[in-house]
Amino acid sequence: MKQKTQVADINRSRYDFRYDEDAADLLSSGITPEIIREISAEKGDPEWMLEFRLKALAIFSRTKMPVWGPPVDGLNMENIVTYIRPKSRMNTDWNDVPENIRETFERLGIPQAERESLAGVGAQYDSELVYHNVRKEVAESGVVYTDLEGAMHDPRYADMIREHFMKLVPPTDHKFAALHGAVWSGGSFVYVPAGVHLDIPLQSYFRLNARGAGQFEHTLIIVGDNAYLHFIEGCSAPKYYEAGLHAGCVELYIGKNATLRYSTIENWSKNMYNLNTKRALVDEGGRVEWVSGSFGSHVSYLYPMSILNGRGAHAEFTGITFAGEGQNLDTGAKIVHNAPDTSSHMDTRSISKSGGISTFRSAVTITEKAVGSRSSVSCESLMLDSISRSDTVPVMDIRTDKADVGHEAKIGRISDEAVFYLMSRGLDEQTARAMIVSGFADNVSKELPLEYAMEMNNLIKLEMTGKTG
Amino acid sequence: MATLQLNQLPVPTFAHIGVNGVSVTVPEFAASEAAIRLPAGVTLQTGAPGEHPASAIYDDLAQRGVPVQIISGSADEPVRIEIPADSAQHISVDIPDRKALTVIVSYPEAASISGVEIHIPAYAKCKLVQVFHGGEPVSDITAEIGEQAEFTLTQLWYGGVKAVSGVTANLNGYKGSFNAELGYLLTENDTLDINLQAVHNGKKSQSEINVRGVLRDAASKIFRGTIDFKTGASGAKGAEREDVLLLDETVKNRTAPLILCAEEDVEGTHGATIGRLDRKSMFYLQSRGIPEETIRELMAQARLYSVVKTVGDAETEHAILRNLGRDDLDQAP
Repeated sequence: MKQKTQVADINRSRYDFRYDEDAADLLSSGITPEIIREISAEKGDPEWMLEFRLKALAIFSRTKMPVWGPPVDGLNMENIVTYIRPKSRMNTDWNDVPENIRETFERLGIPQAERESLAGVGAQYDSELVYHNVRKEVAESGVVYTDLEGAMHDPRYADMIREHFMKLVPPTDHKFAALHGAVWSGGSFVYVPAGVHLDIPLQSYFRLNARGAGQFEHTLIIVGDNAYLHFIEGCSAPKYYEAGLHAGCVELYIGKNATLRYSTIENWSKNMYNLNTKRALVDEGGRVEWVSGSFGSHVSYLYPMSILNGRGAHAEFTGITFAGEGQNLDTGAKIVHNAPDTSSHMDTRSISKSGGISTFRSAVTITEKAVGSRSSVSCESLMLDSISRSDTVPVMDIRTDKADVGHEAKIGRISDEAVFYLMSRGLDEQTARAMIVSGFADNVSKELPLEYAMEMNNLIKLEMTGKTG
Repeated sequence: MATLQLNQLPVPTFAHIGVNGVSVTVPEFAASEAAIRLPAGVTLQTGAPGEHPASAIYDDLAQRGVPVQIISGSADEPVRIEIPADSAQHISVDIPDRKALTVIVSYPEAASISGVEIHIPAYAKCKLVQVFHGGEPVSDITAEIGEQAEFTLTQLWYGGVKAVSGVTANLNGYKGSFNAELGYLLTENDTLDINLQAVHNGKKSQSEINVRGVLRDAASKIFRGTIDFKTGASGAKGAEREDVLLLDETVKNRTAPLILCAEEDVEGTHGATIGRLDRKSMFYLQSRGIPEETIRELMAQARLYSVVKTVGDAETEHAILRNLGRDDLDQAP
């Protein structure tokens, strides 16, 4: 009798540690104007930001839940703590970070990565950034990498922040964008001046330690004309029984002939609802490259969106999603071609096992202005048992005859013929199966810096057994 | 007037794209019977509306009290049905075990609402051909396909049409198969809203869906094609392909090719190619002295013609080609 291929669950032991929080640091749970005012006062928001938050709250209250996507019945906003007072201010030296927080990030490998391979790091613990630093030579090139709230108060950047903040993702976009607008806290601001090419990545890492809490960081990145940036985002949380919520927001502005690569390894714990919104606006000749690995969360709604708004702009999305037991991960991407000669390519993979549900959801829109545009979408899904589920829900909306769009998708299991072929070439069965599945996930790992590719492969940790006859 | 929510996408998606379903207002038609030509060996009975497939159209037909016209039997010659203008029809096709029947349905250049349910038991075969030449037809097909049974569907839309079409093929039996060839040539302000689902329940069931179409002028089309593998359908295979040729800058095309999977041991693929005439082909034909507009017309008709050839009935093919003004392509002996 054939034995099934066994693929182990994601190894979470490295992330499942926690520190008890002080109840005095927690704001009351729920979403009320009073709580919004309290958050705004804690932060010393300018008046315009308080007004913005309150308007966003009103939008949140009247906006309905989407009629599609995984159920979020287990998420009760009345039980979510939206803000946790920080134990310390933001530091630029790890030695100044409180011990338990520093140990947290050391266990996650962040300081080491910073020393070895990053141009700058931002580390957020619960609601606030606790560490932010950038290499001296990077800062001297004019690159700004700082906490968003600090930038909002800094006269050098305040106007830029106000001009861009939640203009690409307005609170009216959907219910959780409105929630984010009301309670956002933490996050980074990055500005890369025109012509600056940053060879080494910047990274932000988000750690949610508190039980029953939410994290609502906001990332705003502006890449000037002809500039280059690789930005890496990581996240994790210990597992609790209570639901946690991540409703972050990422807004990316990419100038003429500039390139921004945005890589994410998402590894929230399985009690988390990950309702994140990411959007990029790409100018003439610009490129946005999304690299996305989704391994965590109980429920995810995640569709990075690229708006190609200048002639010749380009978007790429490369992603992998691994849905295991208790997970319902609804991920994909959206691309809007809104200018001539724009192009896009999506390459996504998904693995479903142990009752996990993986949904690939995409939308490619080609407007009347996008004459001469091209788009291709490729989606592959691997089912590892019959108690799991994998759905592919792509949509193409084309409003001009002068465009070319291609889409392909396939779903299946590990092919016994492929295994037999490799074995006939001298590989043993375990190695053959490992090679096939590694190759399946390779579309993302090969786009990441080596350290992160290894991290991603560690997350998956494949065990292969099986016989062909 | 009744407003029906039809063509619901089995897994709804982003609401702003507008493909989750369509709202259709249908007039109160008087009851009338379709003109049905029966070959020898096939009978027709009229029955009261009873249990019917789960669909808003059948619910509406039952509420109107539209009787069910039950076609039973098998023959080498096709059953020919002409749907009357401004009518509501409920047709049921029952084929005996291990027998075969072809049913050809023509729709009027007027409004109509119709539901056709097809029961194909073990080892039986059914071919259904639907030809929509103009008009505002609202149509639903539901087929129950048994063990090693075959259901072949050909659908054609052309000639000034505003159509809504739903097809559900339930592959219930072991090695049941469903093959669909759809073709459309939409011009001016034509609209077409299609929802086609191949639901794999049976082990080693197979489906193959091919859609070829052309949009011109300000025509607008939504195609939802779903291959749905249910738990237990091990060994099933489903393939779907859509090729759409866009010939004018004011067209609107929306495509939603879904694969839903709850079974490990299956193979599902879909592909879609949407775009303009290949420039090299265009240049080649122009270099032979053919004007651009003529090339567009030829390419559009050629695409539809490739589906016409799958009808397999000379009388029907002849009528279509005559309507298209292409008697020169008619190969009738």
